[in-house]
Amino acid sequence: MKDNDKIVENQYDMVEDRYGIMRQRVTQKVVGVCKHHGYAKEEDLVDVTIKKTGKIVKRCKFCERDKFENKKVYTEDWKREKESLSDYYVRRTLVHGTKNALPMQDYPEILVEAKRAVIKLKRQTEIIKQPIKECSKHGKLYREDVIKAGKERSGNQKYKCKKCMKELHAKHYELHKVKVKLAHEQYKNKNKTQVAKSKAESYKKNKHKYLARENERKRIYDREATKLLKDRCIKKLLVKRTGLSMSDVPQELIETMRAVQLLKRGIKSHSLKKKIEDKKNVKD
Amino acid sequence: MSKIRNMENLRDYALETLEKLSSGEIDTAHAGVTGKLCESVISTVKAQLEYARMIQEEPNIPFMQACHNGTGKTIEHQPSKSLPSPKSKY
Repeated sequence: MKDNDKIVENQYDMVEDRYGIMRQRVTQKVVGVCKHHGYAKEEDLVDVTIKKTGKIVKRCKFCERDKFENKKVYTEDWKREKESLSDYYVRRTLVHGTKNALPMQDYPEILVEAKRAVIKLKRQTEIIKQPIKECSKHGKLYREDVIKAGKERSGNQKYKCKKCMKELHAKHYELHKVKVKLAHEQYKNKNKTQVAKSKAESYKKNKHKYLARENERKRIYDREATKLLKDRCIKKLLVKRTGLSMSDVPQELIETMRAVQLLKRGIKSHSLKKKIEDKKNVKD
Repeated sequence: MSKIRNMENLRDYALETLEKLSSGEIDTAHAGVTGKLCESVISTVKAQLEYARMIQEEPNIPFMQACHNGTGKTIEHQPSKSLPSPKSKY
């Protein structure tokens, strides 16, 4: 602050007034007055915007600099406390936003520790929710859309886009199909137990997927079998609501049943045709 | 057809009625009656097979004797080959 005082002395001459008090003599045009630094010219003022109203106000340059530095120190201290989860920070969060709250020091230590645990959990969940990486093709990538790809020298984990890597592997497979297949076979023959283990694990993980796929395949198979009147379909018809098993039904019976089913279908199609023709005649 | 004494005869009879229906010689009602009749015959055969299974004896059905002595698995079972087996795909 001594430097600022010197500047003021240089700018304005000090003169004794009629009451015998030393005052500044105004030699140049004065724009404003500072509480701490006296009269101020245009050079000594800075434009400052107020947050709430959005107005632009002129204020003393030296006072604003001091304020900014103080704020810096305060924010740095507050950040440090936030990161380390100090007692002061946790107690303040307990008090903040509560009506008729106790003074900060009156809260018991058990409550403070519990609050600290809650804050830690919240922070961890926020980290998980945030995207890990951004891909130029597929945008933001979360934990599900990413593959691990080694570590940095500092020890941090590296990641790669799962879809991009899949495309890359598919291209490589198309170019070197024979080579890749040979390598796979060799690996399978060498590490049979390991492959069996990994297969079992993958089946356990994606069991619902496999089952759904198989059910779909079965549904398609059954639909086609009913269309073509295959043996399996007719056997099912014969075995229905009886104590017979599929193997008990003789082939001759199946073929006769097939003929009967064909007859039934023929009757159905003829009756439908007749109905349509009747409707047309009524319209005409 | 004069008499149906065989499983083959029954099958031929059903197929003949289908041909007649398509050509327009028979009504749908007539064809429906023949279909039901064939079904009832098959159901009797089924009942006989079930009875043999319950007694734990080989079925001896005279209606099927001309084809394969009325036993269960004389003709080889030939599953369809056009569709893939369930294990081959996955």
